[in-house]
Amino acid sequence: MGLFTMFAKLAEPPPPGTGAWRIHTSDGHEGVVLMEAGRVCWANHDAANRLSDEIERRYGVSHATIEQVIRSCRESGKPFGASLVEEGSITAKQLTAALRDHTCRSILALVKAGVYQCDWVPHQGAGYAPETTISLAQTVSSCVALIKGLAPEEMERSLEVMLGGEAPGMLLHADSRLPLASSQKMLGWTEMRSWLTWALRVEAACKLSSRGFVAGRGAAGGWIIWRCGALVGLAVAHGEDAQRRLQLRVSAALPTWTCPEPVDKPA
Amino acid sequence: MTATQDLDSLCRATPSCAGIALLTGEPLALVAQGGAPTAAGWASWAEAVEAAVALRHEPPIACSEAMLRSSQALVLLESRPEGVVVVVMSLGKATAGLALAQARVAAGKAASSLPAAAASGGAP
Repeated sequence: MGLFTMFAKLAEPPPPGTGAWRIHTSDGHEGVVLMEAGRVCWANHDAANRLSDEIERRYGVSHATIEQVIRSCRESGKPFGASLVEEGSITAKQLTAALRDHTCRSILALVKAGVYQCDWVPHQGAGYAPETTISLAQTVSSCVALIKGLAPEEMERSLEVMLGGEAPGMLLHADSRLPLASSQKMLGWTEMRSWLTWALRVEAACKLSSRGFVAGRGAAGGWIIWRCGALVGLAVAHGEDAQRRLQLRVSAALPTWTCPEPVDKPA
Repeated sequence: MTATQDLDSLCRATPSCAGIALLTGEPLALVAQGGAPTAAGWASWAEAVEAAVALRHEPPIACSEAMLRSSQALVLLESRPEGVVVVVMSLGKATAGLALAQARVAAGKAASSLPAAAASGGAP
């Protein structure tokens, strides 16, 4: 299974979408993707680094502290990351960054190892804070950004300059036709796939110039597609006022908007 | 006067207007035009038809108006029950806001030709 085929499978956990995907890979190993309410909490694979090692490396949390937190989490059943934040070893923002990076790298390691089966194991939620979980659209976009050598959080920050936290949307790479960032505002998997196809088709048909845009408005709201270099952005606003704000924001920011772009590697 | 002659006159009478076209039918097809779409980076009106078709095909939210902006031009695509009016404005002198207002007025006037154009299938 490729990355998108695997995500299409992960996008359909039985309601309420809380549990774990047990993922079997061709190399005989197993991995896991934990989900709560349809959002990705954490993923792991034998071949990927441990989250605790990553936190130790990134933020200098001592090995002894980590071991002690792991022990108390085993007893209490609390999530490891949330406990580290609670006891002040790292901030919530640092945890979110480390979790996301670890999750995406684990998923990429799973795909690289050759995913051939995903089994759903429902369970009670472990109480991941919503801000430390990410949507499937964010997860797949972050995985693609990592493959392209880009920093997923930087891509999302640039996208949110346009979205203002109130509109769902995404950033696409026009050449590879892949998503590079998805909005913090929930964007479902099916929506993401259909919007991606539509935005790229419109962008090509309208022949948008770099820093050009096309915006639509109607009684229910509207959308805007912009282009900057090899990047294509799409945002959707529900309601006329939200659409007006979105269009003003994008048209004002676009002339000076910056966002990292994938660099083509020489063949 | 034919719809095309009407659109030529309307285009000339609208400041900064580079071209106006009427598209009707299913699939959408060009039925009348005045001026040219080259300011929008389109080699012919066929490219305006392609853009209109793409915009109307399963958008996230259905919109009656689409506005395309580049540094050189502003294009208004207005959907009506009988078809689509496309107005291409050159942004040489006009500001985008003024050009959009003028494009909307021109689109409103051009739309009056739509029912006849749709009924005749664009024949002069």
